[in-house]
Amino acid sequence: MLNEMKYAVHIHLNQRVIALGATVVLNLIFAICGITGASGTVGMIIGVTLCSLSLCALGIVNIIADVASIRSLFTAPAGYLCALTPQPRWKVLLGRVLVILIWDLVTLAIASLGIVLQASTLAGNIIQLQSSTSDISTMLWTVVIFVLYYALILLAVFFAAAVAKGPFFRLPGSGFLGFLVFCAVLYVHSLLNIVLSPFAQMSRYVAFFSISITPGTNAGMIAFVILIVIELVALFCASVYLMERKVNL
Amino acid sequence: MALMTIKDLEKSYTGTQALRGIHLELETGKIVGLLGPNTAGKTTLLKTIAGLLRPDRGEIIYPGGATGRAAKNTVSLLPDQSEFPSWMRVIDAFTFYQNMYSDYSEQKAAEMVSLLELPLEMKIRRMSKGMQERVALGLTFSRLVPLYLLDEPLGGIDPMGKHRIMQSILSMDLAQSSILLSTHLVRDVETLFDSILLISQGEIIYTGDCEEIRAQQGKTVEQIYVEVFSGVK
Repeated sequence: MLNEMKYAVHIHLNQRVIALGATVVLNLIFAICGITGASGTVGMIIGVTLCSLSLCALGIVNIIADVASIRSLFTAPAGYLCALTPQPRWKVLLGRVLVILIWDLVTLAIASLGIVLQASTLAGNIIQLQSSTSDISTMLWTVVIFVLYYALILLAVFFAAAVAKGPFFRLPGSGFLGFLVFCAVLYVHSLLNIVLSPFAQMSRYVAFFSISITPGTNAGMIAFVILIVIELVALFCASVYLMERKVNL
Repeated sequence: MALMTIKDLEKSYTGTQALRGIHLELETGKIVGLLGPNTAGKTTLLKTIAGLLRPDRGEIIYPGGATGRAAKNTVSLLPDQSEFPSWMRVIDAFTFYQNMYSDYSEQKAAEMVSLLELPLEMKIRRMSKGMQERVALGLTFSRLVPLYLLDEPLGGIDPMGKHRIMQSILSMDLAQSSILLSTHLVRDVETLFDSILLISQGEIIYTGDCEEIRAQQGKTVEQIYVEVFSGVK
C-alpha cells in the first residue's frame, strides 16, 4: 500500500505544492503587514483580494488534482498502470483514498488558517479562541466527525465512479449516473441520521439535513461515529468489489 | 506442455461479440503473431489474457496454473495505448515497475534502457509517440515473466524506432517464455514469428507454423494473410 501511496501522492504534486505554498506565503505576508500596520487601506484591499484569490486557486487546484487521481483509477488508458499490477484492489483503493484525504485535510487546515489570519488582520488584532475543557472535548469530537464525514463524501465519490465505470460505462450519461449514485449515498446517510436522531437529541428534520453537526450527548456522538465508520467500511468494500468484478478498462 | 491454454473464450461489449469461442495453446520459447485487421478482436484477446477484461465465458490456464490476481505475475502486457502521468520521467516509470512487480529485473531494465536508448531523465509526456512506445516496451521487458503480450508495438513508429523495437524483441531470452505479438503490419514483422494466428471477427480462422509456410508452401506470411482475408483460402 505504501507503494500505491507513493505513486498517488505524485499526481499533480507540483501544482498542489505551489498552490499551498503561494497561499501560505500570501496570507502570512498579508497578516504581518496588517498587524504591524505596514499597509494602508488600499494595501489591505489588495491583500484581501490576493489572499482570497489564492484560497480560491488552492481549492480549484485541489479539486482538479483529486479528480485526476480518481479518474486514473477508473479510466483507460490512464488506469492501465495500476490495473495491470498484481496489487490487491483494496490496497490500491485505500492508498488512493488516504492520499486524497490527507491532501484535502491539509489543504482545508491551511485554508482555514488563512481565513483566520485574514479575519485577524482585518480586525486589527489576533483573534483569540476561547476554550475550556468541555469546549476542547467538543472541538475534538467535531474534528473527528468532520474528518469522518469528509472520508464518507470521498468514498461516496469513489463508489459512484466505480458504479458508473462498471457495466454502464459505455452508455451515454454514465457521468450523470455517477452523480445520481453519489446523491443516493448521501440520501441513505441522511435517512440513517433520522434513525440516530433520538440518541443525538436532534429533531428528525435537523438530522436529515445535517452534514456536520455535533450531537448533544456522548451516546449520540459515539452512535454517529459508529454509523459513519460502518458506512465507510460498506462503501469501501462495495467499491473494491466493483473494481475487482465490474470495472473494465 | 503448453505454456498457456485458452478454452472456449468469449467476450462481448453491449451487444457486440468481440471474442467467439477462442481456443489456443501457446508453447514455451515461441514468438507468435496474432494477426488480423482492425476490430478483429486482437486487443480484446490480449487485454482479456492480461486481466484488464473479464471474459463472459471460457477459461484461461495461465503459466504454472496461476489463478486470479496471481496470474498477473505471469503476464506482462504492452497495451495498444500507453498513458503515463504527466509528472513521470522515464526513471520514475521504471521505479514504479520496480515497486509494483516482484519479477522486475534491474539488469534486464538496464539492458532495455541501453538497447532502446531511453533518456532516463526526460518526461515521458514530452516524448514523441515512437519514444513513448519504446519506453513502454522497455518497461514490459524489464519483467521476467513467462508470457509477454505486445499489442501493436509498431503502430505509428518511424523505421529507426521499428528497428530498435524489433532488436529488443529478438534480444529476449525465450528459454522459459513466449511472446504473443499482435499487429496488422504483417510485412514489417513477419521475420520475427515462429507461428501465426489469424483472427477475424473474434474467431481464430487460421493457425500456421511460419517455417512450414515458407518451406513447404513457398509463401510469405503476408501472402497467407492476404489469401485468408480475401477469402481465397
